[in-house]
Amino acid sequence: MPPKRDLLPGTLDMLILKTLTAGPLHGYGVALHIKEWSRDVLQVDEGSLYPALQRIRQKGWITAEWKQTPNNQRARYYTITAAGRKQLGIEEAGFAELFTAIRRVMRSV
Amino acid sequence: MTLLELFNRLRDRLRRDALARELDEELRFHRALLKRDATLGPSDDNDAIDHAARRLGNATYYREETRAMWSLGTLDEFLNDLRFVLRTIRATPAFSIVVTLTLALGIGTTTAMYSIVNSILLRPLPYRAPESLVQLRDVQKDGRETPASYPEYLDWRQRSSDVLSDVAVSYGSGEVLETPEGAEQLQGSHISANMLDMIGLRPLLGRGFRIDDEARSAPRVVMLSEPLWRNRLGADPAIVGRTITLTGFPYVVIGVFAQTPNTLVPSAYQWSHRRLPDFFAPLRLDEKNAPRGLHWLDVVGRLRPGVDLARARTRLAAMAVSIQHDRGATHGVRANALADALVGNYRAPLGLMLIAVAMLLVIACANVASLLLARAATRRREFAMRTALGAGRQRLVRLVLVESVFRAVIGGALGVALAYALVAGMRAWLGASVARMADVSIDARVLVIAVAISVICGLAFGIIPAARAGRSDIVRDLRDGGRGVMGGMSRDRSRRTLIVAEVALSFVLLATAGLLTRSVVKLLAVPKGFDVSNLVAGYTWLPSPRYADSLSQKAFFDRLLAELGGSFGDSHVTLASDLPIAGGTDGGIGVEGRAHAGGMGMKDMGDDVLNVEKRIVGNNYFGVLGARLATGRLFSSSDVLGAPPVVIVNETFARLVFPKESAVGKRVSFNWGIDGYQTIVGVVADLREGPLNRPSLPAIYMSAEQRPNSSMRFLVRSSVPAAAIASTFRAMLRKIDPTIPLVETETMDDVVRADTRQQRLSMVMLGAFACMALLLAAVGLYGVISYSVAQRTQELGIRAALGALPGDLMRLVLRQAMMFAVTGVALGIVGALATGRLIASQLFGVGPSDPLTLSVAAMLLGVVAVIASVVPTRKAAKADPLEALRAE
Repeated sequence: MPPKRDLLPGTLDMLILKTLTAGPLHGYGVALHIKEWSRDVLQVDEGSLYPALQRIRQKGWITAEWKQTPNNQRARYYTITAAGRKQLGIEEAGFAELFTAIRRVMRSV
Repeated sequence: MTLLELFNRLRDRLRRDALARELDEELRFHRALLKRDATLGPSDDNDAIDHAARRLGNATYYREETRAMWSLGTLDEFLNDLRFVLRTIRATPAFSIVVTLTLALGIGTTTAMYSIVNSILLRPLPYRAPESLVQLRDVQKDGRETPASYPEYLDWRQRSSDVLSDVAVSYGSGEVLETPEGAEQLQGSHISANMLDMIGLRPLLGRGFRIDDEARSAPRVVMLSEPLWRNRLGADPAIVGRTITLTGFPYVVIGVFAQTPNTLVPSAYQWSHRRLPDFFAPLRLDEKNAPRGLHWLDVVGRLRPGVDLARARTRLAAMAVSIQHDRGATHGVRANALADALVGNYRAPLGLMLIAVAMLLVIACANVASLLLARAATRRREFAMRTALGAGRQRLVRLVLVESVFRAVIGGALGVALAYALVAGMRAWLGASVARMADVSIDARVLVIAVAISVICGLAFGIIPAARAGRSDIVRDLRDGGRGVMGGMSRDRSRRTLIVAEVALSFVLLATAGLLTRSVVKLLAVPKGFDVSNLVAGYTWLPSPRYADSLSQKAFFDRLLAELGGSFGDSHVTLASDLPIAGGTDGGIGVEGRAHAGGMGMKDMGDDVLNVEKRIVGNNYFGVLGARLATGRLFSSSDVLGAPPVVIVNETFARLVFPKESAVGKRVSFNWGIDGYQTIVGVVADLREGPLNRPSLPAIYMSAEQRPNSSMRFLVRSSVPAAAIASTFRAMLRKIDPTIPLVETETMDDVVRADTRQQRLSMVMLGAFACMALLLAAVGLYGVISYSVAQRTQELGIRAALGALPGDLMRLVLRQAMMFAVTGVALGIVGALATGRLIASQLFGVGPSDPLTLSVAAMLLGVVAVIASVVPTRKAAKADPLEALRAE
C-alpha cells in the first residue's frame, strides 16, 4: 500500500469540486474517486471529507440530495452548482500558479 | 462570509438536529461501504479492516467540527449565556425577584411622576404662541389679587398698547338649553371678540365673533361646540343662521367649534374645573351692568414682541397710577405669566412629589447596588472556579453583562407597565379635578432615561465580581470560599454607605409624609361650626325671562321646599345661595355712620368697601345646619317680604367690623346702598366660610324670604344615599317646572373632600412613596445583615465554641443593624429638617420640624430595622461551632 500523502491545505475543496464535475456522487464515491484517480496516493478520510462537504454546501457550491443507489440503498448525493464550477475555475487557476511556483523553486538550485 | 453562506448557516442552525441525524446516516453508509470494499479487496484484507476501524475512532471529533459549522457563533454563545443566566436566576429566585421588582418600582414611579409633572407644568399651554400670554389681575389695597372689573378691563386695554399687543377677557356662565328630554344646563364662556384669535381657535363652521357682536343693541349670537351640535342639534348642516333658545332668549348660531384643549379659556377657575365649554357668546357689558366694584372677569394679554414680563410689569404699574389718578380708584394691576396663573398652584405639591420620587429612585438604585455588591462577594468563589476551569475573563464579563442587562430589561418592562398603570390610575382619580391631569401621557424620553439609569446601575455594580475574577488570586478566592476577610473591607464600606444613605432618605420621605398626614388631620379637624354629616345639596337656577321678579322666584322655591319637606321633613330642608367652605359670592358692604355708608348711589360705586361673604339662606338654615347662636336671635317666621329687612353676621364679621361694640342692632348696606339699610339681629358662631386652611372669612347672611334669589341650593339633612336624593331632586324639579335644570348635587362631605383634595393628594402620594422607601430600606437592611451574618459564620461559630450564648450572638448582629439604622436616622433628621423648611407652605397646623412626627418616623424606622434583621439575627444565634470548624 503506497504511503499516504497529506493534501496541501485548501486543495481538498478543489478535488471534491473537480470530482463532482463528472456527475452527482455520494461522499464515499467522492473519496473512492479521489483515491483511485490518485492511484491510492490521496486518501480522504471521512474526518476531513464530511466537514468539507458541509462547508462547500453552505457556500452554495454544491447541493445535497438523498437518492437511491443502484444497489437500492439510501445515500446522500452531491451535485456541483454553477457557482461551484466557477469556484473550481478559480481554484484550478490558483493551484496551477502555486504548482508552477513550487516547481520553479524546486528546479532552481 | 457571503450573504448566501450566512443564510445557509442560519437555515442549517434551525435544522441542526435533522442535519446531525443525516450526517450520522451518511457516515454509517460510508463505513458500510468501506467495510464491504475492504473485505472484497485482494490481499491485505486485515490491514484494510484495521485501517477502517482505526479511522472510526475519531468520529466524535469531526462530528463536533461539522456541528460548529451549523451554529451561529456569537449568537449561539449569547443564547448559551442567556440560558446560563436563567439558570442562575432560577437558582436564586428571591434575589432576582427583589432586584427586578426594585428596579421596576424605581423606573415605574419616576417615569409616571415625571410624566405628570411634564404634562401639567412643563408642556406649553394649548394656545397660540402661549409663551407671550400674560394674565392681568386687579390688585386691592391690601395686596390681594382679584379678577378684574369691566371698566378696569377697558382701561387696561386702552392704555397698555405699548407693552401689550392685545387684551382679551372672558367670564364663565351657564345657559339652559330646552330640549324635548328636559332642560339641560350648558356651561360656556362669554368672551371678548378678540379672545378667539388670542387662543388660536378657528370655527369649524360659520364665523367667529366680531367687535360689533359685543354691542348691547346687537342681536344675541352664539357659537356652539361640535359635540353639542352633534348630540343635541342633530348635526344640522344648516345650523349657522338658525335661531335657538338659550335660557329664554333667542340666539342666532353663527358658528360651530371643535372642543380642542384650547377651548378651555385662560381662566384659573375654568382650568381647575376643566369642563370644556358647550358654547361661546360675546361679551355684552357696559359700565351700567358691570360696575367698577364688581370683580369677576378673567383678563389675558399678549406681550408685544421683545417685551418681557418685568418690563410689562413696570409699565403696567405706571399705567395703574394714571388710572387711579383719572378714575379716583385705588386698585392696581399685576401681570402674571399665564402658565403660573393657570397651573402655578400645582408647582409646589408636584415639585415635592418629584423630589420624593427622585429619592425613591436613588433608594431603589442603592438597594440594587448593595444587593449586587453583597452577591458579588459570594460569587467570588464561583468566578474563581470558572476561571480555574478555563473560562476567559472576557467570557465572565460577558456573562455578568448579559445577566445585568437581562434583569434591567425585565425590570424596565415591569417598570414601564407600572408607569402606565400609575398614570392611568391618576388620570381616573384626578382627571376631573386637576388641570391637565386628563391629558397626562407617558413621556418617552423619561422612560428611556429611567431605564438607562437602572441598566447603568445594574451594570456598574454587576461588573465588579467579573472584573475581579480576571484579576484576583484564584487560589485564595477558592480557598476562602467567598468568605475572605481581606479585600472585603472596601466593599463592605461602600455597602454600609449605601444602606445608611437608604435609611436616611427613607427617613426624610417618612417624616415628610408624616408632616403632610398631620396637616390633613389638623385640616379635617378644623371646627366647621356645623354638622357636616348627612347633608346633601342640590343646585338650580331660574332662567331670567320667566322668573324675572322676586315673587316668581320665591314662589318656585317655596313650592320646592314644600315638596322637599314632604319627603324629608320640614325641619330637615332649607335653602342657601352658597355652601359653607365651598365659598361663593363676596362683595362690599357699608356700615351706617361710617364712610361710604350712606347715600352711595350708582355714581359712587367705588371699590373701597369692606369685602365680605354674602349668603342668602332659608329662615331655618342655621337650625338645619346645627349652627350655634352667639348673641341676638336667628331668623324667625316673621322675617318675611315686607317686614323690616334683617341680617345675621358671623363672629368673624362681628370681630372685624365691630371690634369694640356689639354687632346686634347695627345697620349695614349692600349693593352700594341701593337697597337701603338692614339691621343685624344676631351673631352666629362661625360656620366655616372659605377654605379650611385659611382663617374663616367674615360673612353676612340674608333671609331668602326677604331677598329671593334666582340661583339657590337646597339642602337636605338625610341619611338616604346621595344618589337617591339626587334623583328625588330631579323628579321634583321636573314636576314643578320641566324647563328648570338640576345643575348638580353634592354632599357636604364632597365639599370638604374637594377643599382638602390637594393636601390629601400630597399626603397619599408621599405616604405611598414613603411606604415603598421603607420597604426598600427594609429589604436592603435585610440583605446587608444576612450577608454579614453569612460572612461571619466562622467568626460566630468560634464565638459560640468559646462560650458565647445565642443571645450574645444575636445582640452582636442586632447591634450592627441598629448602628445602620441610628446613623441613617441621624442623617435623615438633618435632611428632614431641610425638606421641612422647603414644604412649610404646604403644611397646616404643624411645624416643619415637628418633634412628634420626627420621633414617630424614627421609631417606625427602628422597628422596621429590627424586623428586617430578625431572620438573619436568628440565623446568627444558631451558629454552630462544628460548622465553623468544618468550613476551615
